[in-house]
Amino acid sequence: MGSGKAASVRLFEWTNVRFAAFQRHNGSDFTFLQCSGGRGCAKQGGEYDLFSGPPPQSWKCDLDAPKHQSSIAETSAILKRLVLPYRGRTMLYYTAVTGNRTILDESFTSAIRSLAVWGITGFLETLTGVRGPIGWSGRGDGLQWISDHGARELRELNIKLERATACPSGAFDAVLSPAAAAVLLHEAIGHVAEAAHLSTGQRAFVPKRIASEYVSAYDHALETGGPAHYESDDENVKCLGPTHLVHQGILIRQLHSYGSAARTGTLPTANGRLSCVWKPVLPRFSNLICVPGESTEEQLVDAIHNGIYLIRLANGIYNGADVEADIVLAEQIRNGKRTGQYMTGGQIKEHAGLLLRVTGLANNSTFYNNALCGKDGQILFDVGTASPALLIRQLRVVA
Amino acid sequence: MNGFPPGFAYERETISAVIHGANPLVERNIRVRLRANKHGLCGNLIPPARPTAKFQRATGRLQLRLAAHIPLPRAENLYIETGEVREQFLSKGRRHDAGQHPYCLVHWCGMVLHLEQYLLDVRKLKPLSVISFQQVPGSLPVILGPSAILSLTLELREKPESQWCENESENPIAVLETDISPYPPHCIPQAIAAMGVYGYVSCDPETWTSPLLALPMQYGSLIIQHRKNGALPQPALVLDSALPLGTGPDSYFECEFHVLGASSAIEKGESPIRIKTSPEKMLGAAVASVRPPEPGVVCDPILGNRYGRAATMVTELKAHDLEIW
Repeated sequence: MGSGKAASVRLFEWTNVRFAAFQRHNGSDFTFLQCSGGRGCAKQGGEYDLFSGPPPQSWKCDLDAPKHQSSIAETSAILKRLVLPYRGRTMLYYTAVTGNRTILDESFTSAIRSLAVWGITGFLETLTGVRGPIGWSGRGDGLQWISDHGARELRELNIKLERATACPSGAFDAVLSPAAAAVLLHEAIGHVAEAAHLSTGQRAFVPKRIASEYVSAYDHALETGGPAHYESDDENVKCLGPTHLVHQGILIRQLHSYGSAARTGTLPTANGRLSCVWKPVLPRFSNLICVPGESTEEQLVDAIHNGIYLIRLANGIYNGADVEADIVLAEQIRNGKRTGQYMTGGQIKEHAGLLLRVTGLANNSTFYNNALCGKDGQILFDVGTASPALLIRQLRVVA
Repeated sequence: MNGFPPGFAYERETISAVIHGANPLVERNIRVRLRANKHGLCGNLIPPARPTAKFQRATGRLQLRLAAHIPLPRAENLYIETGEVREQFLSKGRRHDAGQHPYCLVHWCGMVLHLEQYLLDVRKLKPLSVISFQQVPGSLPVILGPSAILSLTLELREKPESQWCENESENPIAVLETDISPYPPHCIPQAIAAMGVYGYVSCDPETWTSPLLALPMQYGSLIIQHRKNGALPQPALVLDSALPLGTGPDSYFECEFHVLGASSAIEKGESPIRIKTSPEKMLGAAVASVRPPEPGVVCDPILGNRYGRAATMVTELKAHDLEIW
């Protein structure tokens, strides 16, 4: 396959997708759908055949029908409890996917990957009319996490949004919480490090400076606590350990699938991933980990004296040159202290090189609880980012 | 809870064959069965019926002939799909055929070349030359093609706070919402369409794992035309598509373009251009329809392809008015 000639790959997955949608507005509305089935893709002699239903008998591929850990009634009760306390318009959309994927490559080596991921997306609207997007995802069915943390996170978001004023335009010295920093790192390092999957014969632009010398990062599919967790990727390439991507601000390596590696004359990095077997494999990062610094978050806040503390960002976009993200919640910093004066709305609009202005990293790196990524229309629920709090000078905010 | 009578069931099978650029032929065969139960609607992928040999032969021949003979530059953007949608309702153990909808779709660089049940006559397509945007005279009037109009309108309608949406009935551009998409796989029965976004999701296994914000909130289709009719200026710069590259006030749009020559000859843009503009500004500059509504496609990488019909419209803008990035 590495030679670039047409490969013969057979993929089949047997998944069960459960989704529930809750809408709370003048009462509550509730819809529950459960969808299941197998999806297959065979590639032989340069042609694909995609089909639904069980795999053909000739594949001799026995997979058990997938099952969710919790019943529909339990799932429904947990999710309903989440939205009941809010009187403003609230919309939640829960998806859980469980199942198995078989991969049979041209050397007749087969692998079975288990799938178990979940996500909640939607929004919460306060009685004052402020809308905050919601996005959580990860491994498993998420119900335990939702019970333990979801209600508290929604309550805090609701309280802070009700007190928030509009975010002003301008360029501010900013400290980004680990959750907010994860959104920017996802766009400005994660996607930048992914090799182009459509280019032909194009050499990667590495080494290249993409961040300040304080920033180092790596990708690792088996990182403890990370949303992504796999021994081998969707092309059956084994994960052999961390792939160091950024060393002191310089991009030194790219992430590859078989195809992108063959086109650029290098080796794949166990980053060939797809959302379902009907879609093409793309180079995607698994868990992006930014190496933490030595300061505390309070020291970063103190260092900028006056500026903003970004608590949550959402809807990050990288379009090849620019990075943007919506500000869900921010807080004013005055005289080196967070003031409790919350702000919302506004957008960060920056060139992808905004990390060149990072002048400090805290020592509090954690995985962000939203690992959703929709690159090229392929939604993955387990694209993790672990980041410490960051200090960025002159961050551009558009109201 | 879900409004469906007990025992309601609906089966939908889509078979299609696709050639996209240099990719090999892809045959796709998807069969979904929806059943109402106490929890809501339950969907299952079930073994599809094999496509008939006649269908396979017809689509295979058509696709290969089209791919080999369409004399277009930038052929990597050529998308050809032929297919058929079959629907059945099930009640009291009996099946009722609800229709069979064959179709053929060809689009290329934002232009829908063909979207009908009938086969495309490839002889109508002529070889095209290529032009870079630097070679386009700045004095050419700007025309918005069906896909560009559709994309800008959809983008604007996602901002309900905009003044353009508040006064839609008074706008010079008339927008008609319809359940019937020109692309048959996007047409679903009224009973399921009434469920809104979740009805469409249940019929489309590709969206079963999409998060809420990656689901289009307005399905169905649009028919868009200007209330005034005008003459087609020639030569002119035609923007074939307008894909938003971001959100918010300072957004950029990636636009495919071609130059319509004085004798209706077409020179295709060698690559898309990026324009800094807003949907309000572009649609506000439209002064008249110069062609009746024709099929358009918005190739959105997140929301998937969306189809509608829109008139080609002439604007008061000149090529040099466009703010190129």
